[in-house]
Formats: sequence, structure tokens, C-alpha cells
Amino acid sequence: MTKPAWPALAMILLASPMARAQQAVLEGHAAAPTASVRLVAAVGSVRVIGWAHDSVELAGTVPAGSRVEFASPEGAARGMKMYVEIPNHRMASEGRLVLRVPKGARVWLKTGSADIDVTGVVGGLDLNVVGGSITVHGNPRELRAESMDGNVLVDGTPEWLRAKTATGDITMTGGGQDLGASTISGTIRSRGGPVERMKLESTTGAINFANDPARAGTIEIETHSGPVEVQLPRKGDVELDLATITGAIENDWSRTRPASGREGRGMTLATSAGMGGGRLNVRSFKGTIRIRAR
Amino acid sequence: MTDHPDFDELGDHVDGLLAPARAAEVWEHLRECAQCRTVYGAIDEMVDDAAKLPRDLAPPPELWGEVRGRLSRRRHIFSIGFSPAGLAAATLLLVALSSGITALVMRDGSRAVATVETTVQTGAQPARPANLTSAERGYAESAARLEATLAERRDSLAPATVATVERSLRIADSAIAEAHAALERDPANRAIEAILASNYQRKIDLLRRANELSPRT
Repeated sequence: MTKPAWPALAMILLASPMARAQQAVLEGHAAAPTASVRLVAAVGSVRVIGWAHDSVELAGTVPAGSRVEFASPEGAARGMKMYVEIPNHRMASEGRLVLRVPKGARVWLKTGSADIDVTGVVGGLDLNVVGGSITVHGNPRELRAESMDGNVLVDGTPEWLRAKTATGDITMTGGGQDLGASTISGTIRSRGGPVERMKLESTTGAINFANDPARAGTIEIETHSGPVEVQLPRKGDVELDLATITGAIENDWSRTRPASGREGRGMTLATSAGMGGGRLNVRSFKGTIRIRAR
Repeated sequence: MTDHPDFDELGDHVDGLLAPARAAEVWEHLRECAQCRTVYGAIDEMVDDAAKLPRDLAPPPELWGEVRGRLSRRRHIFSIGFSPAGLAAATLLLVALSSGITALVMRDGSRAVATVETTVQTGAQPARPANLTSAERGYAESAARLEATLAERRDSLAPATVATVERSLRIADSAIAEAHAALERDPANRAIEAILASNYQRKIDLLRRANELSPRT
């Protein structure tokens, strides 16, 4: 006969720091559909959900003894600020918050090591973490995502995006109108839908581009030493202009061979397909540039 | 909007780089805030002045030596404190230089990255444009001041964060040194100029972000 497991489970839960040192957070206010919402919270994770209600709700648990403040100097309908201060920064990973906002809201969120996950916001997002990750699903109008060593994933088609990391990877899977990504040593990956304007840049990080440049679109890729791989449809309408100061160019996309650069160092390549509608420029100091068909 | 836009954001606003909705908010704020209007006006004026700089003057021959000297003294600079006014001036300088370069490039009718090109020139090597030379000096000074600020804040940040930032700064510095040396060997190469400028910009942006981190993060 098997003994019931729940007493042992209860003992484990009661003995864990999570179980004995948490306090609930529940804050709700009416808000305009485009209200500005600011949240500063040193917690373990923050989920932001855009919903079809004209209200803001912050719920979850934070370490016991945390200070939770709310301010709305211009009235909660127009905008609000929320601040969660934990009693000890070593407890930062213990808090879990869910922030629900009108889907058209502008959200400004700053945390330390929290993992941020956003769904359903079509307004503006300004997200800032240090060690945590940022994941955004959906199609925000504006998205600014900054991290130090956490990864940034954008799964959607923001109209305007600027993503920056130091060592974290940046991944964009949906295309968009005006996109920018910059990193020191992280990897930048972009794939999915068409892109109208895009700039990808790194110091040593790899850059992988597999979107379709929109007709009359402009894609700029620049790196110091990161390898660059561009995957394009063989029959697309695109004009390419590639140059590397001391690196190499490998072209498996067209028959045009790269030419030697200045004084025999580096390479350049200018080639096109179709009507040459979109334009893709790649510059590197010494990173290898590869162009492949897909 | 009740929060004051910071220097960087006002600089972006001067450059027209803000997203439309945010730009509208900043305009609204500027109508109400004399303090920010003053800063905005100063940045705008410096951008105008930078755009009027001559573009064909040869740089003083001692300039690169001076830049190298400043960089080599960077460790010494770390030990010197900076006043808030000094930091503000550094930020203003950075924004103005960045804006000035943008203005100069935009005046050519093309975007900054789009102007990167590999020149194929023969004969005597022309001097580097004065604007970029000034820009590199400005970049180096701004980076040094931001690094000094970061050094002062170092103990307030989490060790893991400090390690990440320092590792990234070493990578950025290595890339800058490599591009700088290549440009000294090939002063007419505008592609190297552009890559060097981008390396500086990423480093300065990293420093700016590191300096904006909250304590204990």
C-alpha cells in the first residue's frame, strides 16, 4: 500500500524559502486604453499581458517585507507608476508578477534579473533588464528592449523595434517595418516576414539574416569581426552590396564572384537578382560574409 | 508626460530618431518645461554648429598622438571624480557629436550606414576628413568620462553585471584598436572610418546603459 505523498510535499513547501517568505500583490486601477504604465521591480519574472479591458492590474507574489508603491500623478486613467522594492536583493529571484494592461497601453518596465514575457500588447513597450531574458509575442507598435547578458526574443511584427544587448542573443522571427538590433558579442538572428528598414550590428557577434527585403526596403548589416550569414530566395528582387576590409566573402547565391579589396586585402561583391527592388548592404572589418540561397 | 526626457533622448529628438508617438510626447513636454527647452535648445544649437564645420580641413598632425595619450591615461582618469555638471557636459558633448555626424552624413543625402563604401583610390593618400577626426577625439573623451563614472559606480553593481560589462568593454576596446590601427595604415578608407565610428558608438552605448543600471543589479 502506497503512503499518501501530500504530507511530505507539504513539508517540503513549508520548509522552502518560497513558502515562508512571500506576500501577495494585487493592485488594480481603471486606465485609459492608451495609458502609460511604468513598473520598476526587482523580481524573478514579470509577465505582461495586454487585455481588452480599460484597467491595469498587478498581481503576484513578492518576498515578504517588500515595499509596493503605486503613484498616478496625473490620474490613474492617464498613467501610473508602480514600484516594488524587495528587502534583500538576494531575494530578487523569488518574486513573480503578472501585469495586465490595456492592449494599447505604453509599458515601461525595468528590472534586474527578471525574465520578462510580454503577450498581446499593441501599444508601446520599453523593456530593460540586466541578466534576465526578454520575450515579446505579438505586434507592438513600438518596442525597445535592452538587456546586458540576457537574450531578447521578438516573436511578432513590431512596426518599430530597437533591441540592444552586450552579450545576450537577439532573435527576431517576424519581420517588421523599422527594425534595429545591436550587440557586442551576442548572436543576432532575424528570419520570417518581409522587412522594410533594418539595421543589424555587432562587434564580434554573429549575424544571421533570413528575411525578405521588402520592395524598396533597405537592410544594413555591419560587424567588426562577427561572421555574417545572409539567406535569400534565389529569385528574389534584391540588390546586394557587400564589403569586408580583411575578411572573406562566400557567395553561394549567385554566380558573381567577389573581387579583391584595396591592396589585395578583403573582398567586395555587388550582385542582384530580379528587378533589384530591395537593397541589402553588408560591411565587416574581418568577419566572413556568406550569402546563401534558401 | 511628467518625466523629463534625458540628454540622450533629447539628442535623439533633435536628430528625429524618436518613434513618432514618443516624439509627440517629448514635444508636449517641451511646451511645458522650460528646463528641458533650454537643454533641447543647447543641443539643437550645437548640432547646427557641428553641421557648419568645414569638411575638408586636414587634422592637426599631433592629434592621433593626443588621442593615444588620452586613452593611455584612462586608468589614471578613473581615480578622478566628476561633478554632475561635468557628466552632463560629457553627455551633451556625446549627443552633439553624434548629432553632428548624423547631420553631416544626412547632408550628403544618404543615411549613415548607406554611406559606408570601400574606396578604390590610388596616388597620394588624402587626409582624413576633419569631421571624423574630431568625432574620434570626441568619442574617446566621452568614453573615458563614461568609464570614469562607471568606475565610481562599480561597487554598487552586482559582480556578475560588472563582469559582463567589463568583458564587453574589453571586446569593444580590442575592436576599436584594431580598426584604428587599420585606419592609420589606410587613412582614405571610408569603410574603416565607418566601422571605427560604429565600434565607438557601441562602446559608448554600452557604457551609457551600464551607467543607467539601478544599484544592486
